[in-house]
Amino acid sequence: MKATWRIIGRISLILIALGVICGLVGIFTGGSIARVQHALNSGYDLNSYVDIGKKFFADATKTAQTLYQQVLGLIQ
Amino acid sequence: MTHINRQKFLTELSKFLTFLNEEEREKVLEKFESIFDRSANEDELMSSMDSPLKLTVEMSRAYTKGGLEEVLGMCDDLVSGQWIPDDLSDTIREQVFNAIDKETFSSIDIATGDPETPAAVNPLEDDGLVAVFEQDMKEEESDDGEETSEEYSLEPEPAAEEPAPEAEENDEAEEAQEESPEAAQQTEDVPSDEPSEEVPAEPEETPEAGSEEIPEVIEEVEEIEEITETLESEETKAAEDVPSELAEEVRKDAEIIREELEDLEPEDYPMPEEKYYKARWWALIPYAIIAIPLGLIGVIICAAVTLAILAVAAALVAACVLGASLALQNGMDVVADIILVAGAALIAAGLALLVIWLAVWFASNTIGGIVGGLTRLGRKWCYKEVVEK
Repeated sequence: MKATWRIIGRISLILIALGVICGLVGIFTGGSIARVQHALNSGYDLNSYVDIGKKFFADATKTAQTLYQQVLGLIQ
Repeated sequence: MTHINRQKFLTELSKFLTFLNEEEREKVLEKFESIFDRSANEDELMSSMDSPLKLTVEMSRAYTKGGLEEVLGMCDDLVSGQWIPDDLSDTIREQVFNAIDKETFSSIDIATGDPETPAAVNPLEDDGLVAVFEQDMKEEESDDGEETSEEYSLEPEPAAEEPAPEAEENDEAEEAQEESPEAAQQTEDVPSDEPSEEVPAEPEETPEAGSEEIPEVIEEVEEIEEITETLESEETKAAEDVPSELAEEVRKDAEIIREELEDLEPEDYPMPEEKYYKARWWALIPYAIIAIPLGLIGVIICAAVTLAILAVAAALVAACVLGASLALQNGMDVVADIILVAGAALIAAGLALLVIWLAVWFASNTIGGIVGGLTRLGRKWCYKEVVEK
């Protein structure tokens, strides 16, 4: 378990460090977050993905509440 | 290749460590893993190490002597091949230090060649050390012939080269007897091949012998320095010989036990004890009624939390894939923007990996903990240990 954690931690650390370096390089070489957002919006329908995520969490919360009520009912 | 060897080594070692319980075994294996991690060259380390069986024998002895701490303490030395059993190393080390003790030689009056103390007698003339050198001498003779045996010989020099070595050494012994009873005892302990027991002392020759003793003392010092260097390598050889000696000891012990068992009458044989658990039904049934629903609720809650963590991880993976596809496709023209998006995707991937691992760790610890805890509690409360012969 410890050995696995060590390996995964190192890989994650390397990935995050590389990502930070890439981000900084991108910003310093003239990258623009506004242009990226524009490209994302034109290429993908992000709102639909966000809606799917919201719906999933709403369903999950509703199911959890129902289960909770049922368990409380069983205990009482 | 290295990894396979290391893994194989640890697997074999784990199989042999049957005298340790599971927790202790894991600690020992972790210790070895840390040694491997610290080593600059694993191949070299593997080649310099003893076999897992040999290491197990050494660790078994250490465990009997000092428990797990002793075993963990000796791991580094075992791996580097510098570990020597205490009983051997103490003897050899003591003799080496006696041999090179400057105070011993400073007590010899070089001008007259008159030794003041019995320590001036060759300190290497001790049973253990003589045995070590004789063994070494025999090995060297078998390898290199007579030349080497002359080099390491502890036998007295021929009469032609030294006019009266017997007389000198006997003189030393007599003086030592006069000065200290302990020293006299030391002198008497010299093995039978010592010249002092073979040739009677001649006190008349003492002054002449003393004057000729100066170069001999210097030669003796040089010889001891050479021998000290040889002893250092001998320590390593002795450590390698231990397992065979140990095996011989174990064989002898087994023989003694077998003879004792043969002498015993059948009714005297120790009967093996058998342990088993008997259920207390009056406690088990209510415990099951309470514990199973509570355990289920706990498991469901933990599973829900795990799923939530996994959902976050999935969102991060999706962000990573989205960023990578955007950067690789023709959605963007500016290279700086592509690098920026790739950086974000890499960060998302790193975080996703961490969160997935967090979910696995959480699930195994919480769900496994609940199930294991309830099982242990049930065994403790609802079962009774019965011992039968």
